Amino acid sequence: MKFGRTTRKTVAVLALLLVFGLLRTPLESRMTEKFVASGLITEVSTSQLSSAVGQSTVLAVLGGLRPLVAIYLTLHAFDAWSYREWDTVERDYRLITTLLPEDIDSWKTGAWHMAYNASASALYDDPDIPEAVGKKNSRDWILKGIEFLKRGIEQNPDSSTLHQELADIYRQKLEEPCLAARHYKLAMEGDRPRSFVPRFYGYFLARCPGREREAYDFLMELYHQGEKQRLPTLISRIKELEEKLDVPATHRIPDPDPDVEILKKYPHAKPALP
Amino acid sequence: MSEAANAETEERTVPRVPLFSPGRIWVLTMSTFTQLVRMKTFYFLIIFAVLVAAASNLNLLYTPAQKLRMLKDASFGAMSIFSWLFAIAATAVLIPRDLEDRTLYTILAKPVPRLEYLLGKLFGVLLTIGVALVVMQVLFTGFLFFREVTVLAAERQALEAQGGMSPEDIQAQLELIRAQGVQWQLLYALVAIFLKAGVVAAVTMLVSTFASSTLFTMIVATIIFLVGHFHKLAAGYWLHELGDSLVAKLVVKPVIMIIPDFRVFNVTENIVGGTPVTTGAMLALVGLALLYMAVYSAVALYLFIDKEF
Amino acid sequence: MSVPAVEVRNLTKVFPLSLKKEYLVAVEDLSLTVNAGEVYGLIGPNGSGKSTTMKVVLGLMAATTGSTKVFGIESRDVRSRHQIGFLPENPYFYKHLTGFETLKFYGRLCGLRGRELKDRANEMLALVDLEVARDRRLGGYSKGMLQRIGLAQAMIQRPRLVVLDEPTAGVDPIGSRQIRDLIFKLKEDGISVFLCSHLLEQVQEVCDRVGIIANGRMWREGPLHELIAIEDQTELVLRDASPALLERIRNLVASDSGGAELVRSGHPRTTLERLFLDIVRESREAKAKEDREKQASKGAKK
Repeated sequence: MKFGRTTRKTVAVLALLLVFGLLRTPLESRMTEKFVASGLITEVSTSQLSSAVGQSTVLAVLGGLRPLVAIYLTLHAFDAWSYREWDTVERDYRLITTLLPEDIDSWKTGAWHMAYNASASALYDDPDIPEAVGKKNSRDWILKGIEFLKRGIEQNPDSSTLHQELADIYRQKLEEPCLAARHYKLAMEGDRPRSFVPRFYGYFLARCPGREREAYDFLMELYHQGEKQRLPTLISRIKELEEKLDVPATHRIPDPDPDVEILKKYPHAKPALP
Repeated sequence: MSEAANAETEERTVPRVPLFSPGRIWVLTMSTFTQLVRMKTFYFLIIFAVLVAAASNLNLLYTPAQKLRMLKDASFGAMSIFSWLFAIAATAVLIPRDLEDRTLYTILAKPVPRLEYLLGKLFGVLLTIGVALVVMQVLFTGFLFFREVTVLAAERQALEAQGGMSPEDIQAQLELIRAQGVQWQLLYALVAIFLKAGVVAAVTMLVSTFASSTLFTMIVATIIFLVGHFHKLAAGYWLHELGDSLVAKLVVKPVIMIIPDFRVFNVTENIVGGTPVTTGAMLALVGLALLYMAVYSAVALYLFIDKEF
Repeated sequence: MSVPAVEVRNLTKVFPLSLKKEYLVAVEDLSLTVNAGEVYGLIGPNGSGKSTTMKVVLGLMAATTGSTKVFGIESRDVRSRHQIGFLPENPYFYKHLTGFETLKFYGRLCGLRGRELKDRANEMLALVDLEVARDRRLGGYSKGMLQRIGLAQAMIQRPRLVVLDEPTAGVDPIGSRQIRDLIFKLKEDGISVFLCSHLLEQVQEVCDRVGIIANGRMWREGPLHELIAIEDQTELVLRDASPALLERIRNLVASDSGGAELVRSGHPRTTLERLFLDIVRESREAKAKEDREKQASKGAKK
């Protein structure tokens, strides 16, 4: 009778779907693996997210709305930045980069907030905090920025930008020329490095004790590449090294012509007539 | 008149009705499309336009590439939400509404096989989603293009004014921005959204052939949709906890097998982000989506074919 | 002899009741025939199985046992539907379509296209007197107008059989009359009509043959004039008869040696209605008796 038929149909439908599931699962798993490997799908650690943003957001993330959640967090971080709530900014950027690990700009912006904005704020924004504590807090924020960028580099090892950012922090915030040089070198080897990166590598290698000879050879190599590389800083850095390394006069590069130099800097300026 | 002549007359008056007619499916598809359009569903496009306009005018102090990416993410996020929400709601509403209004009786009392009715409804929903997505894509591309041109001009000017950068550096910087601008690849993202919506619509149609109400269909389809995004992840945990127990064998494993795996369709996010996608990968995705739609529609037909009204 | 428009043979339809192993027999061993070109009325109280029978004929439901054919084609065969035009009870069509679009939609489903479709839709609008509302959406139609557009869509592909389920339910007397006139028109054109109705007066007016169904069974079926004729009775209908004349007739009958008796006198009534009520009463009594017997046999088994 009908009841029997309904049961039979239900069982048949479940069996059909089950068989389809068994057939498609290996295919889907292979596709998913390939997509993850080629960067088309990002697998997000949900356990980390759920404690920070709640279950419903996790569902949105899993449901294909990952970038929308990232936008929300970006706006949230922007708001927190305007109120100088640095812990919130840090938390938001950690989440954003969990959601969009391939987004170089998010790693860069997060690190910039920590190493530059939060560290400066720790020094100057609260006059009640003793100077020593402020300095310590400021340094902690710089180190957080560095740690953050290193995680970004782990996720995007070929990114020239992230290495360059890291080198910039070592250079500007910690005044560590050796570390800066190391990361400018890595930036040079990365994906689409900016043209100034090799020069910066040379400049800061020159400041790294014990590596002056290496720096001199490298900068000379750049110098011989032609006019394009012969910027005032490069020339002055080579001059410094010539002195330091006691390079024979015959091997030294000529002094720059001040008129030519000024024209390089201000191409519209007319040269002063003798 | 002789009996033979009589039989011949009868034969002539019995019209030839094709057992499968793409023409009839098209009639039902267009009727469903008109129905959905006249239900004012395209008003969503106005909301979308406002959203894209707002997103393209967000001037947070971020890099130009980030500004473009944010516009793309917001737009594709909205398209994504619209497509699956619409796929569930529209598909869940159509068949029960036809039944309640007895329109189903008048349609099935015409020479319309039930397969054609189901396909007509499904294709109608897909056509509506497709048209809406194309309109949204055109709107969005317009905004993105305008934004890209503005941002590039501003960036070029800023970089040149700043000085100290070679033309190659400036070009490289602008290329990074262009990579987040209008790209052919964004069409693949659109296709991926459509494919996912197609699978969601097929699943919803299957549910609606046995569900007792629209609300039930919507709830069940939404649960399947959500569970379909994480059950493979959760399965690892459940099966680890349950081990080789009877519950694992009889409940968890079969449920995981029965519910579709939607994760694989989440490629949109990264395609929009700029990850390159091959034609092979897209074809594989199209194939999988078609397979899903075919199997779920076939099962829906199996339930619907002798359903009594 | 031509193939009957509808042929129902020993139809039984059983519905399960919830998940319990209980069943409702909606139609039991029902047979009927609608000959080509005739108007057949199936009448019965609510829940008697009329709509179920109709749905099985239309292929919307499957028979549990027995068979139904339309012009010789099994009802489950989709081709049988090309010969049928169906108007359900209280129809609602797509509110978003205009009258003209509605007819075009149903016409296209039947394979009509282009000029032919357009002409036929206009012809149907004229037939049901809805030309003025041609481009108005059905959301703004009255009940009577919906019923008429329903009839027009049923007729769009020139079917040889029109199935009408309570065609005048909820329609005002004028609308009801229009529909009745349309049924006459169909009959004139040689189209078979199979209708279910509560309105006995209307059935009596338009139907050639009638079947009376109650509790899922066919109780009486045949040409209307035969059904309502009582063979051993004779009716005299008098105009302006005085009480004295009636008294004399009564006395005359009483004095008849042949055993004639006066059954009743009074104003004539709709005889189909009387027949219908008698049958319903009879069927209810039979059902009650059956139930009592079932109870008794259950008790005996225990």
